[in-house]
Amino acid sequence: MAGMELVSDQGYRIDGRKPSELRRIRCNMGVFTQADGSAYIEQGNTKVLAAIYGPHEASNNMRNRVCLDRGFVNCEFSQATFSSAERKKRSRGDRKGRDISAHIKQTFEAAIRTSLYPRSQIDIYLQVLHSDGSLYCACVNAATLALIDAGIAMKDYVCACSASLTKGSSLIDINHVEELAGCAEFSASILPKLDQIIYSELNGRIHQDELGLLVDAVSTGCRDIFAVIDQFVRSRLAETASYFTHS
Amino acid sequence: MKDATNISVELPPTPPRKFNCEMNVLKNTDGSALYSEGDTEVMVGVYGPADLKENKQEVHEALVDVDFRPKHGSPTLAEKYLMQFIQGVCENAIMLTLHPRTVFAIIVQIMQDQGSLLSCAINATCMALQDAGIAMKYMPVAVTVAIKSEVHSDIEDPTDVIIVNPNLKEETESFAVLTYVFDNVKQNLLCTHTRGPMLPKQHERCLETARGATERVLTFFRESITQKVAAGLEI
Amino acid sequence: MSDLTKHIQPVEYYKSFLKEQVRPDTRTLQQIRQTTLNVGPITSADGSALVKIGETMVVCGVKAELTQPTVEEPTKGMIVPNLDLPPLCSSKYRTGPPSEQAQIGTQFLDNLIKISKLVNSEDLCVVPDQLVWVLYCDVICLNNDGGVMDAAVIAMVAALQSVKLPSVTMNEETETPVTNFDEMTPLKINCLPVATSFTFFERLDNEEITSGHMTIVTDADDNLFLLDRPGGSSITDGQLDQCLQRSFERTKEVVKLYNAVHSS
Repeated sequence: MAGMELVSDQGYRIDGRKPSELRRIRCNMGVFTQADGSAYIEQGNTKVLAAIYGPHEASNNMRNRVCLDRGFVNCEFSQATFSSAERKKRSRGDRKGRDISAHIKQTFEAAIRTSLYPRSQIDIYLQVLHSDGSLYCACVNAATLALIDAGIAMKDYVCACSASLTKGSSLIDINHVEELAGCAEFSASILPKLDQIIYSELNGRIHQDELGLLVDAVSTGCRDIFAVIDQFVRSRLAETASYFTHS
Repeated sequence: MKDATNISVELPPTPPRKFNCEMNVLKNTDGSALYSEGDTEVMVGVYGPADLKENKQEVHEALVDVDFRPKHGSPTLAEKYLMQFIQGVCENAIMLTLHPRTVFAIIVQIMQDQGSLLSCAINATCMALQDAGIAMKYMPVAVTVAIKSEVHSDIEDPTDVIIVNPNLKEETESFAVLTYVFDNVKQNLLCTHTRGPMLPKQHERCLETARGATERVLTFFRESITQKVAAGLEI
Repeated sequence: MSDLTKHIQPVEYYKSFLKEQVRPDTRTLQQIRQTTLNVGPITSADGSALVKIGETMVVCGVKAELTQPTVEEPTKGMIVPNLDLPPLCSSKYRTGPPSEQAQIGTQFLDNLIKISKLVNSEDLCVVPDQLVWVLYCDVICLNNDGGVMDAAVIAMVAALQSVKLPSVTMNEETETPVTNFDEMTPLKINCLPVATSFTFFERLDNEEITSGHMTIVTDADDNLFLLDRPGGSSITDGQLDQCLQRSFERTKEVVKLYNAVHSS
């Protein structure tokens, strides 16, 4: 893939987007009945389902993680074997899956008001149905929606976006082909209203001076995602509220 | 096989498979049986009602834990699938509410599989439960039947032949193999496991044939238990 | 009946409905929840289907791979089903290796494929002794509200029905397979099996409320593939007949669904 042009001379990316353009986001909340909260998000071709169970009493194998003063987050990331071009051998527990699980757990332990749920466990289950890049980001956005659906108190929305650098300019919300091109990939989760970064990860090498550029690109991307998600949540809330006023 | 409308039940071409049962073969268990139908042989050991870890206890009844072991190695998916049938029969036959907070551990070891494995395993388990003296609502009786279509030279349409307690060769030749478990009180169906495409009519005939065959198994059960009791009285 | 009764005395709660011959979700005893089938939602799979039966949701994706056949059966391809019941779908399931229920479900799907001869395994042969297709059918339950196996069977059959395989030729010189994605042939499905599950309720004066379930798999040509009832209280032949009849009716409805989705 080396040497492939990620941005054409006309300034368009391989899938026809502009460098600072997000893929189409479609989302839904409350998709499952069994879970306490659930959500579905599509960012381009990346499709992720999230389910929240809890807060509930810690399950047996998690007893050692119980804290007296706050709740803890348990996260499991699972990628369907048919979600990528090559069939995956196992859907859970491979290195990449464990990494993403751990990162999402850290992200949400920082964002959820865990002190409101002492001695409790909150499960975040993520299922990737179709993967086309920026998996971590889609998972975080889906989990945020699911947590809102579950009514779990958070400090703020958590929005995540990824970015990459090519020829000195930044690309946001990168897809699978762009991931493969081997440029540095930077993903971050921010709390848009509080203006805080709660998670960031950089894969690959960039010049120190370029970091600012990436952080700016990602935070703009996150704000755009926030706008979409927030609008959806508000319209859903208005819809739900209208049931109460009519009856 | 779909054209086969004229179904006839015939006696099995080979003499009926010989049953054999030895009870109390394992000294450390609460009850055990070495049971064979033809060349299919199954050994069962029963422990129970036994103690159980507190977090696994059921307040109002006992648990049944069946371990279905193949000849060698650990159970595969196929054994686990059959295991649920043995477990289901035991859970309903044993009077579980008499022994709350306990477990019945049943270990079913395949010694040799030459066809009719599931019915043999269920019958063996029931004999082991009898040997252990565990209270049961009824005695389950398992029978396996197989249907194969046979072309006779004088008749053009193939006829269906129902074989009771088929061996492995007969099972592979048949298009459908069906295992039924009945209770000995009302002769009602407790559990079924069927494989193979068949018409509802064929299924009905198999069910009837299997129900007819339970008498022979029950008679054998009675004989075995009588023998065991008689042997106990002599000492 | 209040929601509280449902949680504190589930048995009493259910009984009070059954007395009136209805279920808490307003269905009659023989009524099956609304079934929807969506074929091809996942483009990264070679065939896929999403099935909803009421609130139960199941997705199946089929991935085709080329592999060497076994020595015993050099002309036969393979279909490898797998049922996943992740903790996502219900709080009953825990993280870790597949639960017993998932393993039994996987074996059920495998039995079904073999018994119904869903696909001719010879059709999956590319070059005898060298190259065959292996179709991995991964079924994931997304929401478990009962009747998972019924949904899983529909999802798997519909996903297989939508599979298109590219033509493959062997390059004689390099002995490597060459796939031609311009020539896609749909997979031939021999029958359209449908599973119907039943649960039995003992008479209401009895203590126990549910007593064993039964799964019947049939197709529209009146074939009975599987009739599995892993224990439970005894049922009469009349009840069995009633179930068989209901499952044949159900099969006709679902086969219509298969055909409608497949032809569109």
